[in-house]
Amino acid sequence: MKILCSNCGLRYDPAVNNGICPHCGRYNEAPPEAFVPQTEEEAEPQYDEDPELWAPPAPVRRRVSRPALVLFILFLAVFAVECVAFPLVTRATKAGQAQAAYVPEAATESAAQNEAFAFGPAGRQVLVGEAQRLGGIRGTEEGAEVVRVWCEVDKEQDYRSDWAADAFLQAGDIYYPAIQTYDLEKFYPELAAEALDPYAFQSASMDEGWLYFLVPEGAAGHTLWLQCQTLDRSYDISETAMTGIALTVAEGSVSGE
Amino acid sequence: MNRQNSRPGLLMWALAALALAAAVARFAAGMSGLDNARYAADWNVTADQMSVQAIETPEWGETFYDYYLVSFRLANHSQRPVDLDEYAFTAVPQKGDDWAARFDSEWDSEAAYTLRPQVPQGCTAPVSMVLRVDPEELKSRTLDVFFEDYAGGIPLGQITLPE
Repeated sequence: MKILCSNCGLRYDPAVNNGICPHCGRYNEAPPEAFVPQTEEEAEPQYDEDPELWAPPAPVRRRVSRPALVLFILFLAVFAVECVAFPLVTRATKAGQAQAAYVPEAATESAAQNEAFAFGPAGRQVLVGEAQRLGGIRGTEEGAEVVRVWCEVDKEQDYRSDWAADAFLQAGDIYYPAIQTYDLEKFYPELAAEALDPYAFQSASMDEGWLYFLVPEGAAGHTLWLQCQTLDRSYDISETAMTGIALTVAEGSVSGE
Repeated sequence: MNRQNSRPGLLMWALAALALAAAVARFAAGMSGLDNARYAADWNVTADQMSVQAIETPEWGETFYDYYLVSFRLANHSQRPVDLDEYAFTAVPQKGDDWAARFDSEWDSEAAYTLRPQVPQGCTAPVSMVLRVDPEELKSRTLDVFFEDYAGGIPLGQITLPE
């Protein structure tokens, strides 16, 4: 009678070596009848081929780690919730804030060049004076020219933070922003010294200087637009008003060009 | 035998780690998208009178591409002025490569002061942009035009390229 080794799975006769597996040396308990010499009838049938000595190893019962499974399911659930929730929240945020941040069409009014007019919520006195075409000065893009406009702003009693100002020059149908002072300083510190930033229109101090604009060369019909932006409590623009001043542009020059 | 360290147990831990990484990555992407949406909410533009016409290859263009002039009127209801440059708009073909069509312009790399046309807040202005099309990658002549707000874009309209 042969038994199976519990260690290596070898099928062997325990009577041959007192129960010790000839392959791995493990002692395996065997029933007493295994040691009884077998009669011829009891002997195992002789096979034409060699008997299968190696029995298939007993299948190991594989278990899934429970904590890992729980974590996997948890993280997967979090991922699924994120996949659903984020697009919804993002869409709702975008739509809600876009509605709150909507700026209606600007109210427009006009003023005359070389005449003082009231600008902003406190009616600050502003005068737009001479406008000069400086041409394509050093550092400007080919096909573009600089136009500058003289502006004077009166002293304001109190600084107000509920509005902001900006300036654009309309050449043809297109609006162009003012060149900021810090940009002018790169190539023209002497121009920057007497330049005016659009911010000056909302500050409280008296100020005067040139607003510089870069516009296409030869563009006709220049209008300076001073924009008054009314701000709400979260400093978002709630409405805008544009004051347009049709300009008569004279030829000018920059020393050193 | 320590079954916790068996191969199926390790596989489960690896899957759990992957799921954790996916959840963290989705969270980061979601928060980034939310942040973009908050910023993009400041943009509110509409366009009408959209038209397109074929033009000759500009001097600064490449003969490999086809060029078109896309024109429309843009109303800016945003919190900021809209810069009218090629990065502000995209044209996406309904079929084929998304990048088969791009707005393009001449760029003077040596100039310190370049033209920066804008549309102020609360204003409407005409816009004309040069569209560069790669004919080999374009599978549809109908394109959707978007204002690029970096949060999915704002659809402005549709154009059909002339033959």
